Amino acid sequence: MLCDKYKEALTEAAASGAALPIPVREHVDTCAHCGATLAAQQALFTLVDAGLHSRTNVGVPSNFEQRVRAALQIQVSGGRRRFSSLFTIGSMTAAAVLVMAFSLTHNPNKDREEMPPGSVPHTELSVSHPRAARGESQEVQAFAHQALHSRSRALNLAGHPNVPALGDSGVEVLVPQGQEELLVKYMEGVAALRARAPFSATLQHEANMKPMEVPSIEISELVVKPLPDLSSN
Amino acid sequence: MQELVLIQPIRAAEEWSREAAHAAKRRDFEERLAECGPLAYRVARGVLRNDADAEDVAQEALLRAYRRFDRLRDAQRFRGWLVRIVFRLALDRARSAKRRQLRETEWAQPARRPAPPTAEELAASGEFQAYFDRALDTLPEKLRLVLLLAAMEGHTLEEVAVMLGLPVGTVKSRLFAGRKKLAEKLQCYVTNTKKR
Repeated sequence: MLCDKYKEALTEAAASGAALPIPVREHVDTCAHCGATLAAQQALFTLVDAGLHSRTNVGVPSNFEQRVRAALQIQVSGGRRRFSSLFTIGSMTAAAVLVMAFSLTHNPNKDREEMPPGSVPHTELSVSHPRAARGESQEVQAFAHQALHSRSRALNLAGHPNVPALGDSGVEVLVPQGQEELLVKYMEGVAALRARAPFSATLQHEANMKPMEVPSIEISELVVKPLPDLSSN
Repeated sequence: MQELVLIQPIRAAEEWSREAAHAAKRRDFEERLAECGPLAYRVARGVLRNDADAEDVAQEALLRAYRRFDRLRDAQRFRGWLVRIVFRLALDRARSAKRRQLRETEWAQPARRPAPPTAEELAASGEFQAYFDRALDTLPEKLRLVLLLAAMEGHTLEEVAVMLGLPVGTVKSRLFAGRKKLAEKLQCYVTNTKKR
């Protein structure tokens, strides 16, 4: 019982490895039980430290760093692939939006709607294109290019030989690298479709054009009355 | 006429700067990998006590650290950050391994269970080490991490404190508490061994 008050101090001294306080030291020198307890505690903490040391200070496998570097390389290249696929998807989406906007603003029905009621649609494709009017060949292709260039005054397909940089209108459309050809081909296709659409409409128009027969109107009696004077009210 | 404007940054320049940033990030990370790779492995090994698992976990932690390297505001805290990632992953792995082991034990046929080892076999298989490992596993995580880091060669208490972002006094008290708890648990083992 007398030794119990030293127990905590003995444990702390064994744990920290510090020197015992003088009164405890004096007691340990005289008490064999406390001396044994201190020795046991010190042995125990030595065991703890040895166990921790052996558990944590293990040799690292020689190829560990190489493996991590290889995994890192795989991850980086995987990330690039992911990024490039994302970029491709983004580019395709942008191109699709561009094409949709282009086709919407170039709706041939819209042109026909805007046409005055009395005007007659083009009867000949060649009339609608100045080059064709001059008798040049490849009318449809020429029209396609004309449509491309006239529509996209603002289009500036950088570096593309078929599409020159246009004016300083302040508006430009940048196409992802390597997709200029695709865009040009698509625009040509759209323009060709546009070129065909009025043509077919014209043929249909001509085929259906018949003189309208209006029955004669007979007026039996014509009465002319003055209008009531509204200003008197 | 309404004009369509699609504004897209110049890809080449963007890609070039991205590549340069990637290269710089990777260079920076690889320098740290050489310095901190062994630390990550040892922390994982200290928790898992298995070389293959430790290697897996350390590698996973390093890759995760690389992915999130941009988020690390203070590069000086990389070691502590990595240690926490490794420790967390290792604990997760240890828990799932324990659950798996428990499940397999529950479902195993009694006939397939290995015969209980003899006393000689237990002694030869490092009974004390097994007991020590179990005792260490029962310690609270915050004590265990401090014990593992402080026991590694070349780590002073100040370095451990910096690594964990703790005051030195807290590290000392945790270290003391951890060693004391371990000693108490091992005391039972020593007493039982002497009785045998």
